[in-house]
Amino acid sequence: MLEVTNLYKSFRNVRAVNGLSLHVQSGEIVGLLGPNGAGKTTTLRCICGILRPDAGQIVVGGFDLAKQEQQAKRLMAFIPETPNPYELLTVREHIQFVAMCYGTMDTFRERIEELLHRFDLKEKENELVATLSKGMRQKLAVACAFVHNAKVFLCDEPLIGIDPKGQHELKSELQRLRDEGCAVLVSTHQLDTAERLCDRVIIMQAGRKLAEGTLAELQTQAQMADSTLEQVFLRLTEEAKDAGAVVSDMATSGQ
Amino acid sequence: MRALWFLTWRLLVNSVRRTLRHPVRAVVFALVVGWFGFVTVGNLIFAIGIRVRSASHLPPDFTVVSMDNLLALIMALHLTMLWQPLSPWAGSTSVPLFTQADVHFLFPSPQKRPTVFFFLLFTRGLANSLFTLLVLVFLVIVVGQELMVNALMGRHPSNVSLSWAYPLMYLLAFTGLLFSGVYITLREERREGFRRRLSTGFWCVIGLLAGMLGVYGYRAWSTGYEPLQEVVWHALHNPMVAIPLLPLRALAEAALVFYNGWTPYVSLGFLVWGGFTACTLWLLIREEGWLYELATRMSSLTTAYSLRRQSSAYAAYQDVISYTTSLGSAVPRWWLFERWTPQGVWALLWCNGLLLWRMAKGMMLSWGLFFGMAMLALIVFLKRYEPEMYPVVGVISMYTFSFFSLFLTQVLLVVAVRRAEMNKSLPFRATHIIWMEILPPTLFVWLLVTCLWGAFCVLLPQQWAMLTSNYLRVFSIVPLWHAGMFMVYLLVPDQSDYTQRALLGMLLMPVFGLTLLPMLAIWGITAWLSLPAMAGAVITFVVNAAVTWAVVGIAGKRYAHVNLAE
Repeated sequence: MLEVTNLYKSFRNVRAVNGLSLHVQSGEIVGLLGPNGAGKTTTLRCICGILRPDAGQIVVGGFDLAKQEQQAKRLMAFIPETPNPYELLTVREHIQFVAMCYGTMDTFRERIEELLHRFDLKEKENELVATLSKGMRQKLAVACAFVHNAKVFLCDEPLIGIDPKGQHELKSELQRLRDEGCAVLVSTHQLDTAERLCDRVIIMQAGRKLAEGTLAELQTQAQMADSTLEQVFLRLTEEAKDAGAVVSDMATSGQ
Repeated sequence: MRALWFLTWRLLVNSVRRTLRHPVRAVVFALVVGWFGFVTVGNLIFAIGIRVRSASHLPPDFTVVSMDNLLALIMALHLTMLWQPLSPWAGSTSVPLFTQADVHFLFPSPQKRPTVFFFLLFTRGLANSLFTLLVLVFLVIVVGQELMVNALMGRHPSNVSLSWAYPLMYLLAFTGLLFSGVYITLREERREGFRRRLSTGFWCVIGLLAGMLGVYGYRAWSTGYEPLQEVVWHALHNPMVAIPLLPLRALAEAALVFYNGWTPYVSLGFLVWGGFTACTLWLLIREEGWLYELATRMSSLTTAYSLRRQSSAYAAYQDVISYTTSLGSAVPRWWLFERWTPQGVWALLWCNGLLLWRMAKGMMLSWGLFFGMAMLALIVFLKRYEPEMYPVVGVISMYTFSFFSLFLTQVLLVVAVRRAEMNKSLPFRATHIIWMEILPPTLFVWLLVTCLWGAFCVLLPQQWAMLTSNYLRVFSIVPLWHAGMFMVYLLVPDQSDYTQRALLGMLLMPVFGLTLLPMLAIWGITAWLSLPAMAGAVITFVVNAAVTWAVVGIAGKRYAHVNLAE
């Protein structure tokens, strides 16, 4: 459903994503893990069409994002990290606006009530977004992502700022999406959540893919049987960091 | 497109609603709208009831020289107004062109990229420009009532059918400059140093033109002619200067099309500005793929503003970092702030002074440079006037410089209001915090005015009493102006809200007027009682200080409860 091939993205002299390839199939949740500055958010922003890749191909549901942008975007939903919704729209207006953007106003009336109830936004529906707490804003962003029938969900730290009940519900939602055949790519720092939620994880560091696979495959790769994802993650990223430091030292000394 | 219109409309409507829900803002809003309505309707009734004189006929003694002066004045006005669209993230008081909300919700949607980009750019850019123009509208209504009556009654005897020329040309110029500002930013993003090279070239041309005009002025002065008139003539008729200034001349000619009719400059203006706009649009469309990325970068500069409720400390300092980063320079340091480390509430003055220095160093230095050059010019040209005019020029320049400095310092007060949530947690009284917020910009203006007063006292020692009495008046009005402005910013703190932004534009001028009232009243009373000027100045000083104290006290009460999310 989502196919990313040789993605490159730089900001001036900093290479944020360096030849990343990944795929997410229908009915699959893939976790995108990595330390701060690994390039997770940049990857997600490239996939959803906010940033323009320097090179590489992104195909969503058979549509090439570079050539068939509208068709590809219609299949995607993006949940940003720390969303900043339009503060001077009411909650209902905000969801309506997103529905208008995606051209799904014909089903909006049935969908809005369901979304407001599902994400505990009913009481706030006519209040300005400016008055919402951080957690409620996150819920609004999630509700907006569900307003059209997306097939690919891109979630950038979706659980940050949401209360435990909300987190539980969102995880259930993501699992439900998987069961319905959607492809979900989740960037997260919460490794225990990733371990339980994701079918597969991709570990990134310095814009590159460090490792990919199920927990069992990663344990094999790290030679750490019966370890948690957190332990595997730390081992792999530390090893890569040390290797990077050695390469850097060699380059500096001209070897 | 429908979604974009919906967004713009709802943002506008909700902005007005939010204003009306806030009791104080609602009253101010009602007063402003009522005043506009009253003036407009009043003028209409006046126009219907009384035979309206034809304001659009030029006075018989209005010579070619006067028309040249008028053209030059309008050109200078445009030169100052058209800066704004060139800088896409201009100033902290602007409605942001792109927001994080656009990045999070609009850009990932299947809306067409150029449509979204140009719609947001144009509507928000124009809104910003309109808010700036509101101050001018205010002045037109106050000063040019007769003109407005004629305009409303359609009694322009000549060239009324050409009334579309100026708005259209202004719109073309505005759009072209906005697009070019965005294109420059785009190129800068991809190739560092582009903006610097361009701006160096631009300032070289401006410097060359200013130098040429200066030489012409000096020659005229040394041969006994009127230098200003000579400068105006060369700016309009000397091809070396007039050709580079042609776009501005065209705008000025279009503004005066009522009087002058359709001149060749108007046609040329449409060609030049139309071609420029089309060219910049073409350049931007060629870079279609990068438009969202550029908008994302631009919106990140306004993130601090939207994050203020989550982390006010971050927001306060992010402004400084953004500004410094945008200059691409190291964090400026000054020995004064390294050595002077005060305790208690004075630490806040240290902090605010440091922030002001870092945020506005460039602006302050430019203003100081302009100030110095203007002083030199004044001293040179002073000899052209009658001796009794010397101190008058000095007094006028003190008032003028302190007033125009406010356009620079008012931006700093916006940032001061954003710091409110952080400052409120400090163990100081709200009034003390406000004093510490308004003191740094006040000190800056005081420094300029003191230099001016000192220079004139050295030049005209026999007039020191008159100069000093007015210096005292200006000295005491400056903190009052800042306190008044701070009060207005506390009332309308969210400058990303269209209504609050418009209210700000409408409120600042009346507030300046109100703060002048005590001084004018004392002036009148002392003149009536034939008291010495110095006595009047001292009374003004004391009264202004008391009024400032009172305004800060009232602002302190408001400051304690200010909620930027209201």
